[in-house]
Amino acid sequence: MVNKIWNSILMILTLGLIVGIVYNEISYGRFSRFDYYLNVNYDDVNVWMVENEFYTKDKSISIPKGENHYSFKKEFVLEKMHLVWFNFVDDKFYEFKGDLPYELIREEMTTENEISLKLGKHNTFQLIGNGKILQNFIAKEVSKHWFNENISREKMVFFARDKIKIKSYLNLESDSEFSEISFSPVTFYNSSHGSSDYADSLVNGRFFYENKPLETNLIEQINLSLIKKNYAIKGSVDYLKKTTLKLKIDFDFEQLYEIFRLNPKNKFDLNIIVDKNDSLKSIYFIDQNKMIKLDVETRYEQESKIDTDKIK
Amino acid sequence: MSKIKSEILEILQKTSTTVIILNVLLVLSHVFFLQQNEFLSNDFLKNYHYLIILNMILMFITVALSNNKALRIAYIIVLIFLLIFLIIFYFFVLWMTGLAKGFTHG
Repeated sequence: MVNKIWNSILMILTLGLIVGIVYNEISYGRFSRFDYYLNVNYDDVNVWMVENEFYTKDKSISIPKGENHYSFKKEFVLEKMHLVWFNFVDDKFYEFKGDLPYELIREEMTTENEISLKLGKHNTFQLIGNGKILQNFIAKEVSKHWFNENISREKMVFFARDKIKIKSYLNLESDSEFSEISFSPVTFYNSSHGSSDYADSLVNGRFFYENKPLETNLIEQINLSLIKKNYAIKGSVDYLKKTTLKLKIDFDFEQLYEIFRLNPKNKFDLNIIVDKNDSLKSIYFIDQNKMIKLDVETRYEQESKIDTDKIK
Repeated sequence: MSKIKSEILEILQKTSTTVIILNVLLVLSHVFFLQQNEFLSNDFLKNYHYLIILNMILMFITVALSNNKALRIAYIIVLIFLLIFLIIFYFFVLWMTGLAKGFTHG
Protein backbone atom coordinates (compact mmCIF):
# COMPACT_ATOMS: atom_id res chain seq x y z
CA MET A 1 0.00 0.00 0.00
CA VAL A 2 2.69 2.44 1.12
CA ASN A 3 4.75 1.40 -1.89
CA LYS A 4 1.88 2.21 -4.21
CA ILE A 5 1.44 5.67 -2.74
CA TRP A 6 5.19 6.28 -3.06
CA ASN A 7 5.06 5.05 -6.65
CA SER A 8 2.27 7.47 -7.43
CA ILE A 9 4.17 10.37 -5.86
CA LEU A 10 7.28 9.55 -7.90
CA MET A 11 5.14 9.21 -11.03
CA ILE A 12 3.54 12.62 -10.50
CA LEU A 13 6.95 14.24 -9.91
CA THR A 14 8.32 12.60 -13.08
CA LEU A 15 5.39 13.76 -15.17
CA GLY A 16 5.77 17.26 -13.72
CA LEU A 17 9.43 17.29 -14.72
CA ILE A 18 8.65 16.07 -18.24
CA VAL A 19 6.05 18.83 -18.66
CA GLY A 20 8.51 21.38 -17.25
CA ILE A 21 11.31 20.34 -19.60
CA VAL A 22 9.06 20.36 -22.67
CA TYR A 23 7.58 23.75 -21.69
CA ASN A 24 11.05 25.23 -21.24
CA GLU A 25 12.17 24.00 -24.62
CA ILE A 26 9.16 25.48 -26.35
CA SER A 27 9.19 28.85 -24.63
CA TYR A 28 12.93 29.55 -24.88
CA GLY A 29 13.46 28.01 -28.31
CA ARG A 30 16.75 26.42 -27.31
CA PHE A 31 17.96 25.92 -30.84
CA SER A 32 17.59 29.55 -31.80
CA ARG A 33 18.88 30.89 -28.49
CA PHE A 34 21.73 33.38 -28.83
CA ASP A 35 22.75 36.69 -27.40
CA TYR A 36 21.38 39.94 -28.68
CA TYR A 37 22.59 43.47 -28.34
CA LEU A 38 20.83 46.45 -26.97
CA ASN A 39 22.27 49.66 -28.35
CA VAL A 40 21.54 53.12 -27.08
CA ASN A 41 22.41 55.43 -29.90
CA TYR A 42 22.72 59.19 -29.38
CA ASP A 43 25.40 60.06 -31.88
CA ASP A 44 23.28 62.51 -33.84
CA VAL A 45 22.10 64.55 -30.91
CA ASN A 46 23.90 66.43 -28.23
CA VAL A 47 22.71 64.74 -25.07
CA TRP A 48 24.04 63.31 -21.85
CA MET A 49 22.53 60.06 -20.59
CA VAL A 50 21.92 60.54 -16.89
CA GLU A 51 20.11 57.32 -16.04
CA ASN A 52 19.26 54.20 -17.94
CA GLU A 53 17.62 51.12 -16.54
CA PHE A 54 16.16 48.24 -18.52
CA TYR A 55 13.96 45.60 -17.00
CA THR A 56 13.45 42.01 -18.08
CA LYS A 57 11.12 39.60 -16.35
CA ASP A 58 13.34 39.10 -13.34
CA LYS A 59 16.26 41.47 -13.48
CA SER A 60 17.26 45.00 -14.31
CA ILE A 61 20.26 46.15 -16.30
CA SER A 62 21.81 49.53 -16.81
CA ILE A 63 24.38 50.27 -19.47
CA PRO A 64 27.55 51.55 -17.79
CA LYS A 65 28.72 55.11 -18.40
CA GLY A 66 30.92 55.44 -21.42
CA GLU A 67 29.41 52.43 -23.15
CA ASN A 68 26.46 52.31 -25.44
CA HIS A 69 25.55 48.70 -25.72
CA TYR A 70 24.80 45.65 -23.62
CA SER A 71 24.48 42.04 -24.62
CA PHE A 72 21.64 39.93 -23.33
CA LYS A 73 20.87 36.28 -23.27
CA LYS A 74 18.03 35.66 -25.61
CA GLU A 75 15.67 34.44 -22.92
CA PHE A 76 15.72 37.91 -21.35
CA VAL A 77 13.29 39.95 -23.35
CA LEU A 78 13.11 43.61 -22.41
CA GLU A 79 9.82 44.60 -20.88
CA LYS A 80 10.25 48.02 -19.33
CA MET A 81 12.73 50.84 -19.27
CA HIS A 82 13.58 54.02 -17.46
CA LEU A 83 15.62 56.68 -19.20
CA VAL A 84 16.68 60.13 -18.10
CA TRP A 85 18.80 62.31 -20.36
CA PHE A 86 19.84 65.91 -20.67
CA ASN A 87 19.50 67.62 -24.02
CA PHE A 88 22.11 70.37 -24.25
CA VAL A 89 20.45 72.15 -27.14
CA ASP A 90 17.08 72.33 -25.38
CA ASP A 91 18.69 72.82 -21.96
CA LYS A 92 16.16 70.33 -20.57
CA PHE A 93 16.01 66.99 -18.84
CA TYR A 94 13.75 64.34 -20.36
CA GLU A 95 12.48 61.24 -18.71
CA PHE A 96 10.74 58.12 -19.97
CA LYS A 97 9.40 55.42 -17.74
CA GLY A 98 7.24 52.78 -19.31
CA ASP A 99 6.67 49.53 -21.14
CA LEU A 100 8.42 48.30 -24.23
CA PRO A 101 6.54 46.37 -26.92
CA TYR A 102 7.43 42.91 -25.60
CA GLU A 103 5.83 40.94 -28.43
CA LEU A 104 7.42 43.07 -31.17
CA ILE A 105 10.86 42.69 -29.61
CA ARG A 106 10.39 38.94 -29.32
CA GLU A 107 9.41 38.70 -32.96
CA GLU A 108 12.48 40.67 -34.03
CA MET A 109 14.71 38.49 -31.93
CA THR A 110 13.74 35.38 -33.83
CA THR A 111 15.46 36.63 -36.95
CA GLU A 112 18.28 38.96 -35.93
CA ASN A 113 19.89 40.16 -32.81
CA GLU A 114 20.07 43.91 -32.55
CA ILE A 115 17.65 46.10 -30.72
CA SER A 116 18.49 49.77 -30.48
CA LEU A 117 17.15 52.94 -29.00
CA LYS A 118 17.85 56.03 -31.05
CA LEU A 119 17.47 59.37 -29.38
CA GLY A 120 16.10 62.04 -31.65
CA LYS A 121 15.57 65.79 -31.41
CA HIS A 122 14.01 67.19 -28.28
CA ASN A 123 12.14 64.53 -26.34
CA THR A 124 11.61 61.94 -29.05
CA PHE A 125 13.24 58.56 -29.47
CA GLN A 126 12.71 55.39 -31.44
CA LEU A 127 12.94 51.71 -30.77
CA ILE A 128 14.63 50.02 -33.72
CA GLY A 129 14.87 46.30 -34.29
CA ASN A 130 17.22 45.16 -37.04
CA GLY A 131 17.03 48.51 -38.78
CA LYS A 132 13.23 48.66 -38.69
CA ILE A 133 11.42 51.21 -36.56
CA LEU A 134 9.28 49.31 -34.06
CA GLN A 135 7.86 52.16 -32.07
CA ASN A 136 8.19 55.90 -31.55
CA PHE A 137 8.31 57.26 -28.03
CA ILE A 138 7.92 60.65 -26.48
CA ALA A 139 9.53 61.42 -23.15
CA LYS A 140 8.30 64.03 -20.74
CA GLU A 141 10.22 67.02 -19.52
CA VAL A 142 11.34 66.83 -15.91
CA SER A 143 13.49 68.84 -13.57
CA LYS A 144 16.50 67.05 -12.12
CA HIS A 145 19.63 67.92 -10.22
CA TRP A 146 22.52 69.07 -12.36
CA PHE A 147 24.86 66.09 -12.79
CA ASN A 148 28.25 67.73 -13.26
CA GLU A 149 29.85 69.07 -10.09
CA ASN A 150 32.74 70.74 -11.87
CA ILE A 151 31.03 72.67 -14.63
CA SER A 152 27.86 74.64 -14.23
CA ARG A 153 24.82 73.93 -16.35
CA GLU A 154 24.95 77.38 -17.93
CA LYS A 155 28.53 76.90 -19.16
CA MET A 156 27.98 73.38 -20.39
CA VAL A 157 24.94 74.44 -22.38
CA PHE A 158 26.86 77.41 -23.77
CA PHE A 159 29.64 75.16 -25.05
CA ALA A 160 27.25 72.55 -26.37
CA ARG A 161 25.20 75.06 -28.32
CA ASP A 162 28.17 76.94 -29.66
CA LYS A 163 29.42 76.07 -33.11
CA ILE A 164 33.03 76.87 -32.43
CA LYS A 165 35.48 75.24 -34.80
CA ILE A 166 39.13 74.95 -34.02
CA LYS A 167 42.03 74.19 -36.34
CA SER A 168 45.14 73.06 -34.58
CA TYR A 169 48.82 73.57 -35.39
CA LEU A 170 51.91 72.16 -33.81
CA ASN A 171 55.09 74.24 -33.88
CA LEU A 172 58.18 72.34 -32.92
CA GLU A 173 61.01 74.82 -32.50
CA SER A 174 63.92 74.09 -34.81
CA ASP A 175 66.30 73.01 -32.06
CA SER A 176 63.81 70.66 -30.52
CA GLU A 177 64.98 67.11 -30.08
CA PHE A 178 61.62 65.84 -31.17
CA SER A 179 60.64 65.72 -34.76
CA GLU A 180 57.24 64.33 -35.48
CA ILE A 181 54.04 63.19 -33.91
CA SER A 182 54.07 59.52 -33.21
CA PHE A 183 52.19 56.94 -35.17
CA SER A 184 49.56 56.82 -32.46
CA PRO A 185 47.21 59.65 -33.33
CA VAL A 186 46.82 62.91 -31.51
CA THR A 187 43.57 62.93 -29.64
CA PHE A 188 41.36 65.93 -29.15
CA TYR A 189 38.72 65.37 -26.53
CA ASN A 190 35.65 67.38 -26.90
CA SER A 191 34.34 68.48 -23.57
CA SER A 192 30.64 68.82 -24.15
CA HIS A 193 29.95 65.84 -26.36
CA GLY A 194 32.14 63.22 -24.81
CA SER A 195 33.27 62.32 -28.31
CA SER A 196 36.77 62.83 -29.63
CA ASP A 197 38.59 63.70 -32.81
CA TYR A 198 41.85 62.16 -33.90
CA ALA A 199 44.62 63.55 -36.00
CA ASP A 200 46.63 60.93 -37.81
CA SER A 201 49.24 63.03 -39.55
CA LEU A 202 51.02 66.34 -39.34
CA VAL A 203 51.73 68.32 -42.51
CA ASN A 204 53.60 71.62 -42.22
CA GLY A 205 52.66 71.79 -38.58
CA ARG A 206 48.99 71.37 -39.23
CA PHE A 207 47.03 68.41 -37.99
CA PHE A 208 45.33 66.25 -40.57
CA TYR A 209 42.76 63.55 -40.32
CA GLU A 210 42.24 61.22 -43.27
CA ASN A 211 44.07 63.69 -45.51
CA LYS A 212 41.80 66.57 -44.53
CA PRO A 213 42.84 69.41 -42.22
CA LEU A 214 41.41 68.53 -38.85
CA GLU A 215 38.74 70.83 -37.53
CA THR A 216 37.69 70.02 -34.02
CA ASN A 217 35.04 71.28 -31.71
CA LEU A 218 35.90 72.84 -28.42
CA ILE A 219 38.71 71.02 -26.71
CA GLU A 220 39.01 69.87 -23.15
CA GLN A 221 42.15 67.82 -23.44
CA ILE A 222 44.77 67.04 -26.07
CA ASN A 223 46.87 63.91 -26.03
CA LEU A 224 50.03 64.41 -28.00
CA SER A 225 52.87 61.99 -28.64
CA LEU A 226 56.17 63.19 -30.09
CA ILE A 227 59.01 61.01 -31.32
CA LYS A 228 62.59 61.90 -30.51
CA LYS A 229 65.00 62.35 -33.40
CA ASN A 230 67.42 59.47 -33.52
CA TYR A 231 70.99 60.41 -34.47
CA ALA A 232 72.54 57.07 -33.51
CA ILE A 233 74.56 55.16 -36.09
CA LYS A 234 72.95 52.18 -37.71
CA GLY A 235 73.95 49.01 -35.91
CA SER A 236 74.36 50.58 -32.48
CA VAL A 237 72.07 49.74 -29.60
CA ASP A 238 70.71 53.27 -29.46
CA TYR A 239 69.68 53.05 -33.08
CA LEU A 240 66.94 50.63 -32.17
CA LYS A 241 65.59 52.82 -29.41
CA LYS A 242 62.47 54.82 -29.94
CA THR A 243 61.79 57.54 -27.42
CA THR A 244 58.36 59.02 -27.21
CA LEU A 245 57.32 62.07 -25.27
CA LYS A 246 53.71 62.02 -24.27
CA LEU A 247 51.98 65.27 -23.46
CA LYS A 248 48.60 65.47 -21.84
CA ILE A 249 47.33 68.99 -22.12
CA ASP A 250 44.31 70.07 -20.12
CA PHE A 251 42.56 73.33 -20.86
CA ASP A 252 41.04 75.71 -18.40
CA PHE A 253 37.34 75.58 -18.93
CA GLU A 254 36.65 78.90 -17.21
CA GLN A 255 39.14 80.75 -19.40
CA LEU A 256 37.72 79.24 -22.58
CA TYR A 257 34.25 80.26 -21.47
CA GLU A 258 35.37 83.85 -20.99
CA ILE A 259 37.10 83.95 -24.39
CA PHE A 260 34.17 82.55 -26.32
CA ARG A 261 31.48 84.46 -24.47
CA LEU A 262 33.07 87.79 -25.32
CA ASN A 263 34.21 86.91 -28.83
CA PRO A 264 31.67 86.87 -31.65
CA LYS A 265 33.93 84.74 -33.85
CA ASN A 266 33.45 81.03 -34.03
CA LYS A 267 36.57 79.93 -35.88
CA PHE A 268 39.90 79.82 -34.14
CA ASP A 269 43.38 78.59 -34.87
CA LEU A 270 45.05 76.80 -32.02
CA ASN A 271 48.82 76.98 -31.91
CA ILE A 272 50.75 74.50 -29.83
CA ILE A 273 54.39 75.46 -29.41
CA VAL A 274 56.95 73.02 -28.13
CA ASP A 275 60.25 74.69 -27.28
CA LYS A 276 63.83 73.49 -27.42
CA ASN A 277 63.64 71.95 -23.98
CA ASP A 278 60.85 69.81 -25.31
CA SER A 279 58.41 71.14 -22.85
CA LEU A 280 55.27 72.81 -23.88
CA LYS A 281 56.00 76.48 -24.16
CA SER A 282 52.62 77.89 -24.88
CA ILE A 283 49.31 77.34 -26.44
CA TYR A 284 47.62 80.21 -28.19
CA PHE A 285 44.37 80.93 -29.87
CA ILE A 286 45.03 83.08 -32.87
CA ASP A 287 42.28 85.54 -33.57
CA GLN A 288 43.25 87.63 -36.60
CA ASN A 289 46.55 89.06 -35.45
CA LYS A 290 45.81 88.85 -31.79
CA MET A 291 47.23 85.96 -29.83
CA ILE A 292 45.42 84.81 -26.75
CA LYS A 293 47.56 82.76 -24.43
CA LEU A 294 45.73 79.83 -22.89
CA ASP A 295 46.12 78.53 -19.39
CA VAL A 296 46.88 74.88 -19.63
CA GLU A 297 48.03 72.16 -17.34
CA THR A 298 50.44 69.74 -18.94
CA ARG A 299 51.64 66.35 -17.83
CA TYR A 300 54.71 64.82 -19.41
CA GLU A 301 55.74 61.24 -19.73
CA GLN A 302 58.78 59.96 -21.58
CA GLU A 303 58.94 56.42 -22.78
CA SER A 304 61.79 54.54 -24.40
CA LYS A 305 61.40 51.24 -26.10
CA ILE A 306 62.89 49.12 -28.82
CA ASP A 307 61.57 50.01 -32.25
CA THR A 308 60.33 46.72 -33.65
CA ASP A 309 60.07 48.12 -37.19
CA LYS A 310 63.80 48.72 -37.31
CA ILE A 311 64.57 45.16 -36.25
CA LYS A 312 62.69 43.85 -39.25
CA MET B 1 31.63 -14.66 -10.32
CA SER B 2 28.55 -16.66 -11.16
CA LYS B 3 27.16 -15.75 -7.75
CA ILE B 4 27.41 -12.03 -8.51
CA LYS B 5 25.87 -12.63 -11.92
CA SER B 6 22.97 -14.45 -10.44
CA GLU B 7 22.46 -11.70 -7.87
CA ILE B 8 22.46 -9.04 -10.58
CA LEU B 9 19.96 -11.11 -12.50
CA GLU B 10 17.87 -11.44 -9.38
CA ILE B 11 17.89 -7.67 -8.85
CA LEU B 12 16.90 -7.13 -12.46
CA GLN B 13 14.13 -9.67 -12.27
CA LYS B 14 12.79 -8.25 -9.07
CA THR B 15 13.12 -4.65 -10.27
CA SER B 16 9.93 -2.98 -9.33
CA THR B 17 8.24 -0.05 -11.02
CA THR B 18 9.50 2.13 -8.15
CA VAL B 19 13.09 1.59 -9.21
CA ILE B 20 12.38 2.45 -12.84
CA ILE B 21 10.37 5.55 -11.99
CA LEU B 22 12.93 6.70 -9.42
CA ASN B 23 15.79 6.41 -11.88
CA VAL B 24 13.85 8.24 -14.58
CA LEU B 25 13.00 10.93 -12.05
CA LEU B 26 16.63 11.35 -11.00
CA VAL B 27 17.84 11.66 -14.58
CA LEU B 28 15.06 14.08 -15.53
CA SER B 29 15.69 16.23 -12.45
CA HIS B 30 19.28 16.72 -13.62
CA VAL B 31 18.16 17.48 -17.17
CA PHE B 32 15.69 20.06 -15.84
CA PHE B 33 18.32 21.59 -13.59
CA LEU B 34 20.78 21.90 -16.47
CA GLN B 35 18.10 23.46 -18.59
CA GLN B 36 17.49 26.12 -15.97
CA ASN B 37 21.10 26.73 -15.00
CA GLU B 38 23.95 26.83 -17.43
CA PHE B 39 26.62 24.22 -16.65
CA LEU B 40 29.19 25.58 -14.14
CA SER B 41 27.54 29.01 -14.09
CA ASN B 42 27.18 30.91 -10.81
CA ASP B 43 23.63 29.70 -10.25
CA PHE B 44 24.67 26.16 -11.07
CA LEU B 45 27.42 26.14 -8.44
CA LYS B 46 25.14 27.82 -5.93
CA ASN B 47 22.23 25.41 -6.26
CA TYR B 48 23.53 22.06 -7.48
CA HIS B 49 24.02 20.64 -4.00
CA TYR B 50 20.33 21.17 -3.23
CA LEU B 51 19.49 18.96 -6.20
CA ILE B 52 21.83 16.24 -4.97
CA ILE B 53 20.39 16.42 -1.46
CA LEU B 54 16.87 16.18 -2.91
CA ASN B 55 17.94 13.16 -4.95
CA MET B 56 19.38 11.57 -1.83
CA ILE B 57 16.17 12.15 0.13
CA LEU B 58 14.09 10.51 -2.62
CA MET B 59 16.50 7.60 -2.71
CA PHE B 60 16.48 7.28 1.06
CA ILE B 61 12.69 7.13 1.23
CA THR B 62 12.69 4.48 -1.49
CA VAL B 63 15.26 2.45 0.46
CA ALA B 64 13.19 2.77 3.63
CA LEU B 65 10.08 1.54 1.86
CA SER B 66 11.72 -1.25 -0.08
CA ASN B 67 11.50 -4.89 1.01
CA ASN B 68 14.17 -6.14 -1.35
CA LYS B 69 17.44 -6.60 0.53
CA ALA B 70 19.69 -6.68 -2.53
CA LEU B 71 18.10 -3.50 -3.81
CA ARG B 72 18.56 -1.80 -0.44
CA ILE B 73 22.27 -2.61 -0.44
CA ALA B 74 22.63 -1.29 -4.00
CA TYR B 75 20.86 1.94 -3.14
CA ILE B 76 22.86 2.44 0.05
CA ILE B 77 26.07 2.09 -1.96
CA VAL B 78 24.79 4.71 -4.42
CA LEU B 79 23.83 6.95 -1.50
CA ILE B 80 27.31 6.70 -0.03
CA PHE B 81 28.83 7.59 -3.40
CA LEU B 82 26.49 10.54 -3.70
CA LEU B 83 27.52 11.73 -0.25
CA ILE B 84 31.19 11.53 -1.20
CA PHE B 85 30.42 13.41 -4.41
CA LEU B 86 28.56 16.06 -2.42
CA ILE B 87 31.57 16.61 -0.16
CA ILE B 88 33.94 16.86 -3.14
CA PHE B 89 31.54 19.22 -4.88
CA TYR B 90 31.37 21.40 -1.76
CA PHE B 91 35.15 21.78 -1.70
CA PHE B 92 35.21 22.36 -5.44
CA VAL B 93 32.75 25.25 -5.08
CA LEU B 94 34.79 26.67 -2.18
CA TRP B 95 37.91 26.52 -4.33
CA MET B 96 36.16 28.11 -7.34
CA THR B 97 34.68 30.98 -5.31
CA GLY B 98 38.07 31.53 -3.70
CA LEU B 99 39.65 31.74 -7.14
CA ALA B 100 36.94 34.11 -8.34
CA LYS B 101 37.49 36.37 -5.32
CA GLY B 102 41.21 36.26 -5.95
CA PHE B 103 40.62 37.42 -9.50
CA THR B 104 38.23 40.21 -8.65
CA HIS B 105 40.45 41.58 -5.88
CA GLY B 106 43.55 41.42 -8.04
